[in-house]
Amino acid sequence: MNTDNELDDLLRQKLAQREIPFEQAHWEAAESLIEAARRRRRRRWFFLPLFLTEVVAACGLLYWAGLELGSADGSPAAREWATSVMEICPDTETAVSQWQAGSDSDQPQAPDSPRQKRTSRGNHSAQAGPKPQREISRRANTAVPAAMSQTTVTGSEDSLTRRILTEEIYRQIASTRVSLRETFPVHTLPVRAYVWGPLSATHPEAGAVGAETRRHYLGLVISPGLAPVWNPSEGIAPVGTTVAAGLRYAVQVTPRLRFSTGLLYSSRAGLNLDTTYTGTSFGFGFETRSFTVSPQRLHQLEVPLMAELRVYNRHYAIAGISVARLLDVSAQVREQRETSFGVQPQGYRTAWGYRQGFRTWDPGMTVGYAYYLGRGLRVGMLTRIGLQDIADPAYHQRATQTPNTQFRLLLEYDLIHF
Amino acid sequence: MAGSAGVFKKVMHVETRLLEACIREDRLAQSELYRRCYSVLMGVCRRYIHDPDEAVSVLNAGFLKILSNLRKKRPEVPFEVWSKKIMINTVIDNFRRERRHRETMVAMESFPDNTTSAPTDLNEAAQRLDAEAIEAAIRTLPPVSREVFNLFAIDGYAHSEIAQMLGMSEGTSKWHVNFARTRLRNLLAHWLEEDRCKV
Repeated sequence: MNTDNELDDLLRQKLAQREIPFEQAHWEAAESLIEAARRRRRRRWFFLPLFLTEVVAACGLLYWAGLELGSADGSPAAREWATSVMEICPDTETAVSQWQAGSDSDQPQAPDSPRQKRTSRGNHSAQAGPKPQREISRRANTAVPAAMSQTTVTGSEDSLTRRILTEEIYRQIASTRVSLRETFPVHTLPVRAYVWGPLSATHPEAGAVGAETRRHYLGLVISPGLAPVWNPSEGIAPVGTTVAAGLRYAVQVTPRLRFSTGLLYSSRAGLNLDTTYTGTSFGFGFETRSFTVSPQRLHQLEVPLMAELRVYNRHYAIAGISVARLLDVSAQVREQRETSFGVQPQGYRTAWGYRQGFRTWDPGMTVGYAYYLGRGLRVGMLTRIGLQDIADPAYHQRATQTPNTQFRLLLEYDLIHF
Repeated sequence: MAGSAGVFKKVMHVETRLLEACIREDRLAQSELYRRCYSVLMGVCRRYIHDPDEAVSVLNAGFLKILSNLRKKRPEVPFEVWSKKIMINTVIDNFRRERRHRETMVAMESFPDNTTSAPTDLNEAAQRLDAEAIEAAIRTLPPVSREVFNLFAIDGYAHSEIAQMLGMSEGTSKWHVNFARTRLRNLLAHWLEEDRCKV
């Protein structure tokens, strides 16, 4: 043991005497390293406000989207619809004019612009075709007694009939205008808010053995996947597609544990939920327009909050919660006209603005696995389990009755760290 | 950490004013600090790391850590002790990152028979071998044994600390120290013998 200590002392003594001459080249290498670190620090202060601005902007856009959806009844699309109804129903126009002339202040309000526009054109009734007397009588037989029992009205039965029919037309307009929001600009939201290209290429060995703690990472995430359809039926594929993409922020609190959050735009297809709206209008004969609306894709903004535990080497277990906010629902609208000449299909179109049939908030749990490939790149699999049936806005079903689960692949890329 | 031998040793002269200037990111002050620390810190790196280029790279990474953590340094802790500690931690981090690669290299190395230790006259060795030869002898050790021996014999860490730092048991740490000593003794004896033959 003594000889061991003597050897150690000898080595210490000799090494302590060793003088290593200074080399300028080594300082130059260190200087470039210091400069790079300083640039990284500056970049951090550049990106942090940018990230916060994006979050605030996204919240603002969400708020704005909510306001727009709420006030969409007076949208140009609705007015156009009212105008088109007027054009194909000259008798209705006459009825409206007469109703306006004798209306009380408590009459239901029609959209302003078409009414003013049409009344300022003068009398079109001279060009009008024959009245659909039989249908008016049929309607009057049911509607007039009911109305008369509730309100005190003056005038002849014919004018009262026209008034009630006019009101009914406006009710139909109000009920179908929600299906005519194809010009609604919500579809531009996700694209504008989340375009952010790669800004830096510094890739630390994030999460590797011996990595420092308290590191912050900002990166991109994209998650394509599959989800069971809500209403499986024959002829319909049992799964739909889903994709989530956006920004991700992670903080490494210990060498093994990270917390991450982000702002993801998520889109999900495979809804298979049809809704039919029916509108009635009058032309040369009684005409019914029906719209079969098939919601196609949910557009959501998702905020996950995840814990990522390094289980072994580069293997991570992921668990957390996430909240999704419904932005909009795009749908395929099939229009059909039914007249005395028969049924005339009017074709298909894609339209937006059908989120009233879905719940606004979709909380969920996420579990998964990820593997760190290196250079800031991570791949894995995630399962997001929605805790409620988002297709049930009335909240009268249990969540288990309709699956709200998504199976996602995970691709993450750390753009910068600080 | 255990104390080191009370012999002549190079000392780092660093004033508080210089450190304050470094905190203010004064580049000239940083350059001066690097110059003053260079010999001591480079000595640490060269002891632990075989490849000179890698040693420079680790030295610079450690120096960057020293600069970025200067604000956190407590005034009662001597700068030399504090900076050496940071440098050793940087070396250990680097070692852990490169462990898999190193272990492959170790497997390929052929070790001489080390079961017996040749008798070595330490006084003669102290007189005839210089610091560079000692350093070269230490660098011939296998990586893990070199790390453990440096930590224990030169830098004064305890076996329990080494075991925690390198993720091994205390017994393994002791084995590596014993192995390194035996191998160094053999090597020093061999060099002294060669030197005698030359004379």
